[in-house]
Amino acid sequence: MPCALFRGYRGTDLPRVNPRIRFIACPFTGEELACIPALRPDVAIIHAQKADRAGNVLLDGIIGVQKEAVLAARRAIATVEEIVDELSPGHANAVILPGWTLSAVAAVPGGAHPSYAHGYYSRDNSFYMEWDEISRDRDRFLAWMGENVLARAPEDFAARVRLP
Amino acid sequence: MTYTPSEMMTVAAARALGNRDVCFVGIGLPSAACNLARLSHAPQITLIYESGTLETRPEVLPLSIGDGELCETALTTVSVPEVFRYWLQGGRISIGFLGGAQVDRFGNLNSTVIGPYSRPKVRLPGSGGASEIGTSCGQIFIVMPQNPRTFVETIDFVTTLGHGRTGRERRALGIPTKGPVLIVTDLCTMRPDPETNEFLVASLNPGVTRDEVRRNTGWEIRFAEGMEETTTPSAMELEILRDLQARTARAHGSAAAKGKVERN
Repeated sequence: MPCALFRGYRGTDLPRVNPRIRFIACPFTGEELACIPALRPDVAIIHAQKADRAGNVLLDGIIGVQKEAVLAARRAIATVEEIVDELSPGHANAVILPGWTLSAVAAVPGGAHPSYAHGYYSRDNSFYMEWDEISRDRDRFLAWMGENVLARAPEDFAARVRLP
Repeated sequence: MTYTPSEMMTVAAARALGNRDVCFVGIGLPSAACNLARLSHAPQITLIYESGTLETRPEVLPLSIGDGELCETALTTVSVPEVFRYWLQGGRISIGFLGGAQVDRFGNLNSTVIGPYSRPKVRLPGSGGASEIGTSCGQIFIVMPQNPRTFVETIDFVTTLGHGRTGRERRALGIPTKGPVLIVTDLCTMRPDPETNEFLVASLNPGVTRDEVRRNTGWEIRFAEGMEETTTPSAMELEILRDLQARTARAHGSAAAKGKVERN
């Protein structure tokens, strides 16, 4: 759909600084509603629990807008904690993205670090605390990026978390 | 039992909640107050966080709305579009519990920017769901520490509509929900005048003077007729709150307990 509807934004300063927040009248009730345009990303990248060998991906826990992000994007990539023979979702309403909605699926154990993967490992809270300080200082930020991101590879993530 | 002004604030905010409330909870002070209510006098209260965790009962206070703890202790977890469309916009939430960086006399909240929007002195986290929460919940409670920088004559930006810049805009827009009905601070509690929607001091916290409240308010604050003294925290309330904060500190590291990284 081209837009989403809200009741908020009226009476606030947000529409004044964001021209993408606009207003329409409901054709049935006449109520004035705020609307914002659809987001259509070129690429969505998500991290999930597991995929099967056909590339179907199972999501579990706080799912946020991950399914929406994948379905809204032209192309999508999922990294997962593990690739398994059977997803075994356990019940009929599990959140599963069919393989044909994804352009690529890759196993990256620990790939949510420094955040957590529900059912696999918990969040690295002390990292989050440190990041508050690191991100305030350009030199410290660049040094950290060099050491932890640019000089590293996907397989390094597994060592950063305590996998079951 | 001695207590801090901040503990008085959290306890007073918690007492405003009851077993039958369905509460949309902001991170930080609102989250502490809502969970204190749940762990003391309102064990049946329904707490909902923006991440889609319905009826959550966290053991420790979350650092952010995305904490796994909220999901693991929830009755069920739905997606973000669902929590907004079906539960919040659907009118299922009786109370939205919010904080912010600035509030004015009509309960309008700023969590976007200090200074001009185009040349900010401080850029804040932004609305998140606050703008929608402010309009869609049955009523709004606000909890914030009170000083001249937070309780201001004119807020720099209206992120969440209270009663409007002149106290009349909300009504004029025909928004059917009540908007802000309570502000709890570390000095007092305030309720809006039913005619003008201006917040008046309804109770002073023990030991706090009218002058102290005046000095810490950026507008000419008025005191309600029949103003009372806020009831002091009980030993039980303090014990439960301190246990909760100690558990939280152990789980997240000491900075979290001070609220350093908590945000909307």
